[in-house]
Amino acid sequence: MKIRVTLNREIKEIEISPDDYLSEVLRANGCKSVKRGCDKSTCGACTVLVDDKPVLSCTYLAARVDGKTITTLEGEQEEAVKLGQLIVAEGGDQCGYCTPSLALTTIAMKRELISPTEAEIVHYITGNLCRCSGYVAQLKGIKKYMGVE
Amino acid sequence: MIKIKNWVSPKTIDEAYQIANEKINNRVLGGGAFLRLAHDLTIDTAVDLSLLGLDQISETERYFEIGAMTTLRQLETSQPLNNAFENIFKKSLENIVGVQLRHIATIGGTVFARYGFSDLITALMVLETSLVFHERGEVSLVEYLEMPRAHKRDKKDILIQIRVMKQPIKCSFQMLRNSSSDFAILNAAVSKVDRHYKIAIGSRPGVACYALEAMTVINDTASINQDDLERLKLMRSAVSGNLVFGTNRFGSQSYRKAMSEVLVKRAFMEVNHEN
Repeated sequence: MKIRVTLNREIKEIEISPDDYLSEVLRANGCKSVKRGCDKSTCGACTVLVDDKPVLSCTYLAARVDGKTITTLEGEQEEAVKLGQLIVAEGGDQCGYCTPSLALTTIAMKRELISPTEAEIVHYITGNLCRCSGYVAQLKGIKKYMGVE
Repeated sequence: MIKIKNWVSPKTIDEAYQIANEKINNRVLGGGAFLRLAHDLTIDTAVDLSLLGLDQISETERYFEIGAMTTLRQLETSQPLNNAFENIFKKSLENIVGVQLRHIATIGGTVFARYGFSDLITALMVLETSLVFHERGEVSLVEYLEMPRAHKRDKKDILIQIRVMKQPIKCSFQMLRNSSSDFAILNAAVSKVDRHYKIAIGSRPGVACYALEAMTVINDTASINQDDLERLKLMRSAVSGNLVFGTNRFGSQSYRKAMSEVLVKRAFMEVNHEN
């Protein structure tokens, strides 16, 4: 089957199988920021934005995105650089595997939450697990990005 | 491993119902999050409901009408719904995995499947909740949960709407998790309308059900005149009376049984706490 999507601001027609997950389709179409982590809806490494909402692409069937807008970190370079620099400055870059998904979730959070508290920030990013477990440094960078002291 | 041969997104419920029932292995999809839980599943035609406009929360004078395709995140962030039911939707949903999964999983998918681990079903049990099916019409949530599971060869019905009655209510949701975003080891909800209580326990690990003995004790007219502490003592010891608890990797039967009393006590105290 064919789906028509807006992928990182570009309209694309993509041939898929009805049982393809979005993560596989996006990686096959050059979006390597989308990581395969647990493949069990748990770790958040595959996070992408569908119509500006963060979803787990390992759990979202590609057939479902027909007609929708998909954003991966490749489509959010400017914000990714800003956030990335703040995380690196805090020493939170670590192995980097979870960073693209964490960045996308954070970008979505910034657009959704107005003046969040630290607890609200932590709660929003709970679905992004970091195998290096260096959450403290990441959180410091994210708080600066969100404008939260 | 799942295999889906065909995909359709019908424009009407009638069409969806017809396609769902054309073949045994045709399957209606809610949010589709369950597919990751399936080990080996072959679907002939997946019937996607996302074009049917079932993702809305609307209000009538008497009810909140929640479309079956409404995501858990929509429920969690709905101000009208949470204001009306003392944030029970938010509290029962906010710890389910992460915001990303809650943007996928739907109320219809959760309720229809009667998941034993569901936090949402436990919360809905203590509200006046009914389900509207395409074929069967309206049935109460409790009645649905007690129905035998449909056989593969039975007609497949489609859940369209979840209806929650508006009423002055006090309610509380409590749960126990090893860590945030994990499955609940146990959950409990208590509601109070006038002086009538409902108590539901879920993730036992079976699907939520009422703690009937405790409800009898607490709603008993004789005990209504006793003070709160006395009633609490009587009710606590009856909580696990009619309930069956089980053991899985999250917790043992005896742990769940002991903790059910604790969660109900906390919920009971919360609904009786005057702000």
